Amino acid sequence: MIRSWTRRAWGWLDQFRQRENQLALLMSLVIGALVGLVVVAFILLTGRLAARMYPAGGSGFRRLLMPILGALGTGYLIQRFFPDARGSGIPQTKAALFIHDGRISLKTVLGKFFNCSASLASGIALGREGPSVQIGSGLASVIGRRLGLTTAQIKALVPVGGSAALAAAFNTPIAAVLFSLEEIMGDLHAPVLGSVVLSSATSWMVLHLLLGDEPLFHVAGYHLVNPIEFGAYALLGVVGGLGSVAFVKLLLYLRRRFMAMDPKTGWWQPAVGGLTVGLMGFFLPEVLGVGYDTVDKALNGDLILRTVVLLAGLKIVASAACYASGNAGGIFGPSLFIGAMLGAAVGQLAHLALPEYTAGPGAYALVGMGAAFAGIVRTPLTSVIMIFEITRDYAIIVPLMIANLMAFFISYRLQREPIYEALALQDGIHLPTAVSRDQEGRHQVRAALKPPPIVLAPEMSVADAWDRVKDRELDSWPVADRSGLCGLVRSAELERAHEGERSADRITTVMETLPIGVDPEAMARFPHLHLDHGLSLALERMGSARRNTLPVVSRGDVRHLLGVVTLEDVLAVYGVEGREDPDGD
Amino acid sequence: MTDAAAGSPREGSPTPQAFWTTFLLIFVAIAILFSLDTTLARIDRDETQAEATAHFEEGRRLIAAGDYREAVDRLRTAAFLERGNRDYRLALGEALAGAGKPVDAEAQLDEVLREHATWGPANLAMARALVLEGRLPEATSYYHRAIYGQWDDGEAAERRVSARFELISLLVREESQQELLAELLPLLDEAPDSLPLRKELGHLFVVAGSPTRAGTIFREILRQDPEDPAAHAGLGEAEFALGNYRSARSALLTARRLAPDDSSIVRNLDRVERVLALDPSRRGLSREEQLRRSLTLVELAARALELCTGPTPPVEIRATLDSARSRLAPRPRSRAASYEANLDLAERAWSARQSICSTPASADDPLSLVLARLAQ
Repeated sequence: MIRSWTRRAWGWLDQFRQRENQLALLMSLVIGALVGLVVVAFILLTGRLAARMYPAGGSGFRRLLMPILGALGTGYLIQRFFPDARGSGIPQTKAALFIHDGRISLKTVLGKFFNCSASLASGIALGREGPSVQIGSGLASVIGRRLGLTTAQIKALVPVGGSAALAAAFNTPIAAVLFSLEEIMGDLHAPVLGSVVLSSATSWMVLHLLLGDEPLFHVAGYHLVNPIEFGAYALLGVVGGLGSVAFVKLLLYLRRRFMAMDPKTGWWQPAVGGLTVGLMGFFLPEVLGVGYDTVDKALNGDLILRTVVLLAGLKIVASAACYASGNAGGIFGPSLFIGAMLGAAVGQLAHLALPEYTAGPGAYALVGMGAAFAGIVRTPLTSVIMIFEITRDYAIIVPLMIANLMAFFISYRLQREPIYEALALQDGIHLPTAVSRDQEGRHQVRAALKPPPIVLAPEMSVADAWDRVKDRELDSWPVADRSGLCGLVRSAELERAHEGERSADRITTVMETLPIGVDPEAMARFPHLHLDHGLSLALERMGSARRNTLPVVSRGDVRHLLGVVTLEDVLAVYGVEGREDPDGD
Repeated sequence: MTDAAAGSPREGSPTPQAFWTTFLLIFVAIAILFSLDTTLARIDRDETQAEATAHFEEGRRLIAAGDYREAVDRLRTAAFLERGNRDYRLALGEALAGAGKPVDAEAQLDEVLREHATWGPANLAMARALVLEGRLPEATSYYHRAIYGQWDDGEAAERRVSARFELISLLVREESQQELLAELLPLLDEAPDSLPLRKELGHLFVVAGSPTRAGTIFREILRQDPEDPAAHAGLGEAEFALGNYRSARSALLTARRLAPDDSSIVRNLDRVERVLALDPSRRGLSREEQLRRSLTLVELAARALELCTGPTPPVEIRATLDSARSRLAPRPRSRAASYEANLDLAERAWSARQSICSTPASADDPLSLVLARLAQ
């Protein structure tokens, strides 16, 4: 009898396991709950650690030393054991989703959790939200793999975990859903919408169950005093946009400099960020850590003009230095901080100039947060909803939309590459854009891929290289060393150099070098393709590069040469035999 | 990843038993994490509460020391750490008002009142903030909400009375007699049976233009303690306001005897003496004395009028002044015959003075008081 019941129960469970929709529903609930609990633990642990590292009435030297020690400790652990725990976690999550089949290791999750907690508690001027997203997505990925789900199912779970994490970290369930779709998936109509909503709501409920119903910031009720204020808010959008660009460009520049250093120095590089923020914190403690209590003060108009301007400038430098030097932590928190300070500064000036027609600086700080977030993270829709959810103040939505759009537009004009894409590019990772994702289901580069007939070595002379390629029909040739692709060289360039008595020169003198880790925009200009690119894009790139051959490289490592695609092969996929003469001439 | 990989089952896919066992382990992990989080949350709550309390206490100390700016900082931190605590947010609102930021205080208190609309202390703090903003009608409304609102401690009745007295002080300052009287009347029933409070109430009834009620209160006090100088002084004040100058003098003389060092009693007595010395209708005066006093009234009223008009008065005023001068000329027969006419002339001159003079006469001016009484 019992055996029969057991058999029937297992049969029912197995049937349930086969029903993909019901399983997805259950997984969303379970991941939402688990991620919510982990993120709550992350928030609480970080908070308590910080309280112990910075007891009330602590001396200035403690503020100077703690970030350095924290950065040194976590820097060593990250370098030695958890290399993927560096930085925000959003680019890593996107890379995992689009390049590594949704795979994030448990080691990375644990490394991110503990290193980021220690790092933020020690006063490193970064945020907890981006890391939470990586932790949440990582947990979802680990669970999916442990349950033996298909690759597609695991990939679908990554944004589910990410949205659950963000809902708990920011206390913003709707913005978490939007962020997962807008930024991580890059598609507001993604089929995982239902699962993402469910996990976000579950996680949010867990947060409320444990920490109560309080918004992240308490804001006094603001309203538009006079339509003239729209002008001031538009100005705030401009300032927010410029501030965002300054932050992003500084961060990318500093990171490029740190990446150019000897990799062996990686373990102490974070201490440079720690020293920067420690020195600032010695004089102005508000710079340390996430700084949400200071944001709260700005939102309530409690900071004077000089202080907010100083804090905005220092936080831009501190957060950029902390992130670029390789500390664990995200840029959501710093974005909100910088935006709040810039907003408070504009608000105070506007109120000084037009006291009868403008609200207090708190309203501007609120809008500034959204503007900076839209400018830095480039998710304008998420930012509007997020500010609304954080503050639960509906009255400020229209000014927020105006400022957000201004900031987004200015940021886009002055810094084309969104920050997460730019960071990934610096790491040699090419995240797919919305355009390339559109190519899915159409003819892709993988259909025309073939191994390169010849791969030249960078130490070869022009004469040797010309000897090898002169009878071949391709017009460009990949040059690679043991680490991977170094660049491309044209047959015509080799011939010209050979005839110009530069035969003994190395081919690197005529090669177009792969600009890895130098400038994201330069990398984007380098002629190359990825497997998931559409063939139409391949044709476009061949046209703009004036080559009939392009290298195909991995998204996860642009130096990893997967093969080449020629014009002839592309045409062959479309059924056009390019070289045949219909008349037989 | 390759497209072929997408959608394909992973290698080594677990059996149903292994699958559900993994699921079970996840639920176990959730249960463990929940316990861990609950413990962490409790520790966090306790430590945060302790930290917030420390900031709150320091903030209150700073308020008491008058350092509102620093207090705002401390209380803001306390309110940030423990958002649900209405006491912290109330104290923050009060500190903001004290720091000269009534608009911010209003916004802060508005938020508290959205959640605790009937909470007396928050309504009282809001009323004070609005007074600082000069929005008196709204402030009065919040005072009423405070008076009829909820007070937590066992001294609710005293707090309510205190709030009403605060409103009364505001109304006295604003010279809103009718509203003041409306606030005082409930106090006759509500106010605790405290002697100083009753004396204060009596005094306020005089200010509110209800000296009869004031007299009743002071007489009641004197029935219990006939030697109370303040009650005698209050009674004198009430009688004076009623125009019973002789009764007022009598009460004030008793008060002075009981409290010879009280300068306010001496001042009030002097005022009564001056009125009595000027009053021509006082009983027991000879006709000669009545006439003399009526002429004094004409002289004082004319002088007050001249002070306002200057050397070139308007035509209609000049006629009145000329009449006064002729009346004051040394012609005893005609003077003796015109006691009633003198009073009429003094009243006309005083009335003209009141209508053309930019600065109104003091309410305590003996001439004004005597003429007002005669007009009755």
